[in-house]
Amino acid sequence: MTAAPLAHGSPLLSVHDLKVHFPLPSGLFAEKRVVKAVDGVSFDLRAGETLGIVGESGCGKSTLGRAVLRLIPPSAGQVVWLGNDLKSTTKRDMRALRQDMQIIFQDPLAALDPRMTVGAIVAEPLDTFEPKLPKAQREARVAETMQRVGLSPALINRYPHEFSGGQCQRIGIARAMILKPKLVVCDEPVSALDVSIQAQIVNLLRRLQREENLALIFISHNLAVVRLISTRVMVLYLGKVAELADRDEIYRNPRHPYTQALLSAVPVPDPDFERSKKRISLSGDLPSPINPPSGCVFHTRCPIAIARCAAEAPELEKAAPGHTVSCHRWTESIQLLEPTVPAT
Amino acid sequence: MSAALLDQPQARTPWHAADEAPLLAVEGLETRFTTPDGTVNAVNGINFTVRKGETVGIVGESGSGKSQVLMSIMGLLPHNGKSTGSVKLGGEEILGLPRDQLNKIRGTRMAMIFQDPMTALNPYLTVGRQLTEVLTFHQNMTQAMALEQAREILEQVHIPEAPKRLNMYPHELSGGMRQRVMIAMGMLCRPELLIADEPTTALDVTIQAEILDLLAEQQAATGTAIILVTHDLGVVAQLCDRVFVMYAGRLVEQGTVRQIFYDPQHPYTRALLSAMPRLTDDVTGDLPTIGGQPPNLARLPPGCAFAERCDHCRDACLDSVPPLRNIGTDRWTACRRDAAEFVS
Repeated sequence: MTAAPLAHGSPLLSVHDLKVHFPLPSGLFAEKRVVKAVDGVSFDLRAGETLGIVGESGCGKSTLGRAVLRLIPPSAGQVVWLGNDLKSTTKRDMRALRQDMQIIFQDPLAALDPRMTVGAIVAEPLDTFEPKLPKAQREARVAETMQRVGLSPALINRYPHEFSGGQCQRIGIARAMILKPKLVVCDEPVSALDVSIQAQIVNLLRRLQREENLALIFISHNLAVVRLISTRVMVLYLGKVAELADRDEIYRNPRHPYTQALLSAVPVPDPDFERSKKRISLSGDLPSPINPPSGCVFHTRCPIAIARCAAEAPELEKAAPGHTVSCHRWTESIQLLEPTVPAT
Repeated sequence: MSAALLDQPQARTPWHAADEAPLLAVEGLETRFTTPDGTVNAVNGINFTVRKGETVGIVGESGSGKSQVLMSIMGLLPHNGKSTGSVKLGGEEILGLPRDQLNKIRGTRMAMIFQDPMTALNPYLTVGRQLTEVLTFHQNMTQAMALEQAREILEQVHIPEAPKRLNMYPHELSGGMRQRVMIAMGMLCRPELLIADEPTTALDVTIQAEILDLLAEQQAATGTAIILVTHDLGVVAQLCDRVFVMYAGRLVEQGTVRQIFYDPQHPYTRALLSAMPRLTDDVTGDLPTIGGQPPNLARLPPGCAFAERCDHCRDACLDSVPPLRNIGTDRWTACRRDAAEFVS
C-alpha cells in the first residue's frame, strides 16, 4: 500500500454501534415501523487510512457515510471525532468541525451548481469558513487547489457543463480539498466514470491521501476498485457489518459467505478464467430492510444457512487479528471459493 | 470518407463459411446528429456482421458511439439523428424503412433490452399488460392466450410467483426483477437478434451474474444472436464469442474474445484492458490509466482519433485515419503499427 504509514495512537474517527432508523408513515393504531438503514455499525479510522465500504444497493453504505458526517442524524450510537462525541457538539461547533470533514458524490455533474463557474464552486467553502480572506489569497488558493487535482487554473471561469465526467469529479474533489480536511467521505466517486478515467481519479485520491495524511471513507459497490485504495474493508449487508478486515486479509481469506459470493461475482476480464470459475449464486434479491429476516439477516440468501441462522443473530466474532466476521459457521472455515486469483 | 471505408476489403471478405449468409450485415454505417453546436459524428463508417446464434460484444468508453450503432440498427434515433449506409437483417435492407414496416420487425425478428429497466418499462401499465401487448399486436393472440404465454415466459426467466407478478406495476419490482421482465419481453416473440445495451450496468454484481446467466440460457434455448454493448470488459469475457472495440465512432479492433483479451493489437484495446481493475493487480504505485480525454465528436481530428492519447503515435498517425487492416481470419485492427512494435 502506498498510503502513508498508519499513525499510531488514538483514531481520528471512532464509530460505536451507530444506528440510523428511518420511521415509516403508519396509521393511527398501526404498529410503528422503521427502516433500519444502518443497524449497529462500529469502526475506527486513523489519519492516512482508507476504510472501504462495500455492499449491494440498499445495504446502507451511503447512509452510513452520511451519518458519520451527521448529514443524517443517527438514531443511536456514537460518532467520536478526535476524542469528542459529536452528539454533544453544539450546532455552531459542528459547523466549525465540518471544515475537517468533506464529501465527494457519485454523480459528478449533478453535484455541481450549473450556474456557478468552476472558480466559484471551488471557492465556496472558503466563502463559508474564511470569509475575511483577501481576494488575491482566495484566488491563489483556488488556483493552487485546482492544480493539485489536475485541472488547469486557466479553466477557472468555465461552467460545469463544459467539462467531462472525470473533470467534473476533479472539480468536486477540489471543492472538498480546498479547506484541507482531515476526512473525506467518497460516496461511489468513480461509479459513473469510464474505466480509463476511474483509474485517474483513484490515483488522484491516493496521491492526495499520501500528501495530506488524509483519512478516507470510500464507498463503492465495486470490490475491485475498493481494493485499490482501501486499508481496511467493511462488507455491509442490510445495515449490519457482515465482515470487517484489513484489505489483503479480506481478499485472501474472506470468511463470510456473503463476502465470498460478492468476490465470486466480480466479472474478471479473462475469458478462460471467467468461464471456468466457480461462482456462488445468491438466491433472490436483497430482502426489504423494513422487514428484515429473523436471525442472521443473510440467511434467506445464504448457500450454507442452517436452522440456527434463522433463529439466532450472529455476533461479530474475531476471526483473526483485526478481522471480524458475523457468521455462525465461520469457524468451520468453509471456503466456498476456489482462489479468486486467475493463473497468470 | 465513407466511400474510402466502403472500398476496404472488410465488407467483401468472407469471414465465415460461404454457404451461410450472416444474420445481420452492417456496411458503411454512419450516424450524424445535427446539434446547435454543429454536426456530431457519432458513428463514422462501420462494417460488421453477426452470425446466427452468436454473441458479439461491442466495447468502448462513453461517447464511443456504441449505443448509437444499436439505435441506428433499431431505427430508434431521435429526430436530429440520421444514419446512412446499409443494415441488412437476413439479407433485407432495414435502414431507413418507414416506421410501420420497422414495427413489424422490431419485437418479432429483433428486440432490444435497455440499460435502465425502470425508464424502459411503462410505469402506468402492469407487467402483464406490457408483455401481452407484444403478443396481441404481433401475433394476433387473444388476451387470454397472451396472458398464459406471458406467465410462461416469466417462469422461463425465473421470476417467482409469475401469475402474481403479471398484475404488478414496474415500481413494485426490484431492479433485477425488472431487468428479467425486460428480457422476457425481448424474448417473447423469439427474435433472431437480441440487442442488449448495457443490460447489467445498473445492477449489483450479484444480480448481474444472474442476468448474464439468464441471457446465455435464453440464447441456448432459442438460438437467438445477441449484440451486447457494454463498457465492462469482465462482462464481455464472460458472455461473448467475438468482440468489436469502438473508439470515436469507428471500429478499431475486431477478433474473437480470446484474441482480444490475450493478444490485443490496437493500443486502445491494450490500454483499456490494463486500466480495468482486477482483484489480482499489484496495488503499489500508480495504476495504469489512459491519459487525456476521448475526442470531441463534433471536431474529429483528421488522423487517428486515438493518436492524442496514444504512447506509440507517429507522424503518419496524425495525417489520415488508419484503415482497418486484416491481420488474420476475422481479425482486424485499425493501427498502423504491428503489435511486435509495442513490446517495449
